[in-house]
Amino acid sequence: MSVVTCSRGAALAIAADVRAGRRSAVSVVTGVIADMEIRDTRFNSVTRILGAAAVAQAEEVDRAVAAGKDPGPLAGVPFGVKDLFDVRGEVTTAGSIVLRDNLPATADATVVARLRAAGAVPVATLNMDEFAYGFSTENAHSGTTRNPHDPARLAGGSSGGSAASVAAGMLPFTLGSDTNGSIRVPSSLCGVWGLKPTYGQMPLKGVYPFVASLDVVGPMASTVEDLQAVYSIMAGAPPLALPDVGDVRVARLGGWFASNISPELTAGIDAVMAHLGRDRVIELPEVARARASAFLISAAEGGNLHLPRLRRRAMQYDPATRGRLMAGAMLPAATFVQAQRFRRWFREQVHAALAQADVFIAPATVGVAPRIDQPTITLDGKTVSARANLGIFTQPISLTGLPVLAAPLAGDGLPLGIQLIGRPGGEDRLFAVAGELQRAGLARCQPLDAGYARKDSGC
Amino acid sequence: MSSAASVSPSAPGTPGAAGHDDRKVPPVADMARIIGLSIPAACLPDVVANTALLQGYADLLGGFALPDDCEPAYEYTP
Repeated sequence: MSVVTCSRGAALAIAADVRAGRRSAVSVVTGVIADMEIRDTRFNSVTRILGAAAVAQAEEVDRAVAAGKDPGPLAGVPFGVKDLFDVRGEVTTAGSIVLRDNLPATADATVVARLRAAGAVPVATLNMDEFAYGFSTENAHSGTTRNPHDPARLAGGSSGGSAASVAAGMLPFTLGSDTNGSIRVPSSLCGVWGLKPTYGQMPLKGVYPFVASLDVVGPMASTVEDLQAVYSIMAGAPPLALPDVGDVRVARLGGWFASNISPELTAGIDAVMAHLGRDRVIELPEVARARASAFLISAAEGGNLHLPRLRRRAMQYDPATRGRLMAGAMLPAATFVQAQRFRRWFREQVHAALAQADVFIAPATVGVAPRIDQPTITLDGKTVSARANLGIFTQPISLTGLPVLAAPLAGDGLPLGIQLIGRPGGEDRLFAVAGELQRAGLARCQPLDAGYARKDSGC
Repeated sequence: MSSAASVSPSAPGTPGAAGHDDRKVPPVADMARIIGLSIPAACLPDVVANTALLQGYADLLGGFALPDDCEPAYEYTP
């Protein structure tokens, strides 16, 4: 499929065609919308199609091209946003009917505005766990998003619609948010590239919050090149200059991160380490408590955020979210403060480990996507809820705020993903390693049927 | 607060007034009342289960001694 072999990336290929006048932005956008209307009936990744507004913006891009003006580096590239990013003229629901009577957003979220200014066109809002509180994208209001690689299985969450729409080949890139793993888990289960940037790096203006201590937004895409390009624009930064991958010190995380994972995932990480010529293993201390801290901070801050509404109209909430938020709202201050103090302690341990390596490699999930009719995973021999536990390897890293790039391992079976974990502000090293894994064929995204590239493009 | 004794939950792991292990059944109704939250009866089992889950994580965290000069990470830089 041309989209995965194109050296400049699917989104960048569309932009090159639009900029050169080989394709019109309107034809790209209308084609993508038609494709979503037909194929998303299988996946339920889209919650709203922004038809009229998207076509109007695409017409602006085409006018700019016709007038000889620069239409931007992502000219005419369609994209979707998790339904917690403000898109001007639309109500931001955060995946809930609780907010459905809010007024439409009067402005785009900052990162959406930056992408729009670069010529990209938001065409859809995408499904999610209600208020981003879950790892499965099972939503009582908007339904369950299905995994394009096996619609009987979960897409993961909470940015499940964002991952599934890329995996299905309906969109070349999307935006998600990640508090405890909500970009990394669905990226891995759907087999797409995803980035959780360094905590605090991306502007969150216009993004519906969940846990202020942990929230980050980032892109998901079908190629590393697209992921990098979109990341730079979202960050409002110039394109990254990447280091030589041979200069990047890579180590795998052992202990907690080597337990409970499938043999295929272990073999995949073995192959990655062998290819990179590295064999160092690092064990972080007290990972279970790091996960517990992230869990408790999330519950407390999320519960507090929603407490006023829970007092008045609790029954409007998704039952699976409501119970967790109520429990979190009641969490004693002593527990919350202890979790925040532990975070400080854990930061010091992680920074000590970062003296030995620039990038840690760890699994993103324990294995492939769970079945929808059996939404469980096995941990230490016990069967536990997937919705609450799919983030077993992502939550401890969330606590640190480190940047993480989710890489889809190449393989013949259902998707498996790994985390490339960097030092603060070390996204350049993550992209260097990711690019090498893609080039070597050890990691790749294989969209089902890239409708947006069907025309043509000559890449 | 004079009424605190009647509405405060027992400390985790200590016997409550009824003489049983309160960690098994968190005093959710009391905890909710403190923050002005009314829990519909239909939601109570789920809230109790989630409260117990959080208490398990709190116990895990509480079993780790932090130095006194370890400050909360409210203003966090990775």
